[in-house]
Amino acid sequence: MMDEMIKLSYKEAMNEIESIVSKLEDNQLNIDELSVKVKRVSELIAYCKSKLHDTEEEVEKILRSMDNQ
Amino acid sequence: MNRSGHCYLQLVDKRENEEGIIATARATIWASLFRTLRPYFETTTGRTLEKGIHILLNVEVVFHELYGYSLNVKDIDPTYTVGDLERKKQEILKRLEQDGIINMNRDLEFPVLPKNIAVISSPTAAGLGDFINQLQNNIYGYRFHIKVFPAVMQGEKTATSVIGALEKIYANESLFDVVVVVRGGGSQVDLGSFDNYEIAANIAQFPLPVLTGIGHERDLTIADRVAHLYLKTPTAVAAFLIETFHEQEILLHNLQKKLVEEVQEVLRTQIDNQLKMVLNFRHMLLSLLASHRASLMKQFPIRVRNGVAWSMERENNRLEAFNTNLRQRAQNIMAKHQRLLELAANTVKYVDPVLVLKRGYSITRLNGKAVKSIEILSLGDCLETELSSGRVMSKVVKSEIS
Repeated sequence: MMDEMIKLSYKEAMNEIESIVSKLEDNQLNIDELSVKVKRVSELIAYCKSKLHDTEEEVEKILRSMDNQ
Repeated sequence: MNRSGHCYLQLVDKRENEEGIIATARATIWASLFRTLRPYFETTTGRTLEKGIHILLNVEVVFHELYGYSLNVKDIDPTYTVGDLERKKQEILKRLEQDGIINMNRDLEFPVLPKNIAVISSPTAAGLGDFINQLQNNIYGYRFHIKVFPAVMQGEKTATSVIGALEKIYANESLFDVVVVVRGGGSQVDLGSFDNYEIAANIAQFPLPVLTGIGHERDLTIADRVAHLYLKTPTAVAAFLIETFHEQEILLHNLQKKLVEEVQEVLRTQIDNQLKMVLNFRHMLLSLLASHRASLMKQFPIRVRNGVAWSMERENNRLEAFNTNLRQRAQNIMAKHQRLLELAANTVKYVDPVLVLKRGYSITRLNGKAVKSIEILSLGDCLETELSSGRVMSKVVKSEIS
């Protein structure tokens, strides 16, 4: 899941969460879509939280390598 | 200023934007007077007695047979310099406005999550250490990526040095979300280097939002005026960035809560509908059977009574079986949806609601349901408010729709 998420920016993830939750609020999702969408939102939320709380090693590596330029 | 503490000045009278010098003179401020004049001048103007500033002096003209004539300074009027500096600042602002760039940085959209931060600062400044420390050790455990681009932050070299740092960041623009210019811990004087057209023009036109925290107590510098956001100190900039993260966390938490509530709501409706269907169907069958029975009884009073009784028994059994079957199916659907609900509820473990309550948020309930809108409240309603440390009951005495 995370591999696919990495391409997603925090803002895009946030927008997707908001759009699914508001569809849910407007009863636009049927019971069959529900399962898929709930799983998706749960993953997106976990991803956004990791953006807040986790250090991204890749970014750190790039920033460190800038010193040697 | 020399070792003995005396201050020697080279005074020049010169029209702005013209090369020629009208008059020149040497002046001296003796150490005994300079000790008091200097802090007075520096705290009032925010500048040191540096090259290029305009000053108003009260002097005594002295003549020495060997050294010629010179001026002996008796007093300085710093308000003259303040006025002159202010006029220069206004000129720079006007020029930035005429260039159409004064609002460019301010008009940029601020990133939702300013995680990758390019910092321009003097690497030795105490303010920088505080800033990084504060970001890295925030109480919520948010993680930032910080890269320092060293620059001279005071004196004549400030402009070229800061612009050089901005150019380095520009070369790696895609790596960063924001630029932060911080200075702190040092003296309050010599902020003049940030009242500079070149620095301001570069900041204004920079493609990433620039935040300043250059530690001034009095006026804003020109750099502050064109920055996306200015804050008084490096500490305030760090606090702002952390707060931006925290707002996102609260937003996420609320979305998550809403998700769980909505899924619960959908499932409840689904289950209700299923049960209603079962009950309706049962009712329909029973009344059908009852009318069937009445007509059978009428048509075949005695002969077939036994047969009817048997057939009714059979129909009843069928109905029972059907009923059980339906109930079983409804339960299956409920169980399936229960798993969904658990999945949604599971995501809540990423947030600790207690933390949110601890920050001063509270939940108000009416009859066990969270109050989200004022319209559902009437006078005299008993409210229950949940705080981090307990619950409070209260009664509605007045409500105003805002």
